[in-house]
Amino acid sequence: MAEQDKSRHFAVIGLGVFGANLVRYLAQHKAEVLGIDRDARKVEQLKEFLKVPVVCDASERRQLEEAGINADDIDVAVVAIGENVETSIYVTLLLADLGVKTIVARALNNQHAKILAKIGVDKIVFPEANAAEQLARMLIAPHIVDEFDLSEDHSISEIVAPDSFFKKSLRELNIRTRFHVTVIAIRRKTPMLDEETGETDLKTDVILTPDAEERILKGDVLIVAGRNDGIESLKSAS
Amino acid sequence: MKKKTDQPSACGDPLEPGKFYILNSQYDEAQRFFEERMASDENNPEIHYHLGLIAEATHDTDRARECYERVLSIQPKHRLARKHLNVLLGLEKP
Repeated sequence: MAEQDKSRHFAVIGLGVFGANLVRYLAQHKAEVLGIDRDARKVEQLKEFLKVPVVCDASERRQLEEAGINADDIDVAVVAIGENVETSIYVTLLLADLGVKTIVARALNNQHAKILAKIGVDKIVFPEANAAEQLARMLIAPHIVDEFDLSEDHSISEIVAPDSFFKKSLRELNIRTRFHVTVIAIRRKTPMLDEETGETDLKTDVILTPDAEERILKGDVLIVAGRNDGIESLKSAS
Repeated sequence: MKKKTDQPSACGDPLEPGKFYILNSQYDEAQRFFEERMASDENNPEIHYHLGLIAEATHDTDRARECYERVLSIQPKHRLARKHLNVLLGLEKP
């Protein structure tokens, strides 16, 4: 991803909490980011992460042009404005009009998302809704670490190994036949000793495509892929 | 960093046997050891730190968080407890 991002140029418009974190993450991956906000303090705080920091009003076409927003220089623009739906829509329209190839917009509500879809935004994100959904899943089912939908019927899920699995090999557990899911990886906290300081610590190991003889240890997280009904059965195994 | 595989030693560090159990993933034995030590030395941050490691390794994240918070209440500058707590709270990446 880092190599790909190096050659792409991003613009993030709106440097609130979401926009600022996006800028930091892109910069960590060596991407070149142009950041725009009307608030000079927000731009200043992100100066070290921005290739081009710009203080301007993004709802003014001329100011966007002067900032360097155009089809040749920007590959992806993210409208991260988080307070004003009208401004977000208007800025999105201006970006499309300036020929930006890919536009990603943050939706504040469903109505906003529908309008963004109608004006041809390439990707709509709901950071608050996504975070809330993830938290709800975690609170309802603490044994599920994370979950990704592959389709309506299939998912990849991270599940804390049930106690009944401990010390048994994948072959003995026969997970594929019993639950119709595949264990694609095991994440394990492994204890380590720092020989210089004498400190005990943990490191995270990921065993990709584990061997059938691999034994499940207490605390292992199983990363499984398969049909949702199979994953549900596995979750309730104990 | 290197995984330790030798035998526990009673000399030197009094917590050495418990660390040995942790390093060999013998978490039940390690937990028993540190809980016994805690009965007579409840304000030793290293005991709570190692109980935190055991809880974290066995995916008891609530207990791990409590242990690291206890460490930091006794020794606010405990670097590793701070690091582990921040990761558990999502403030820092592992």
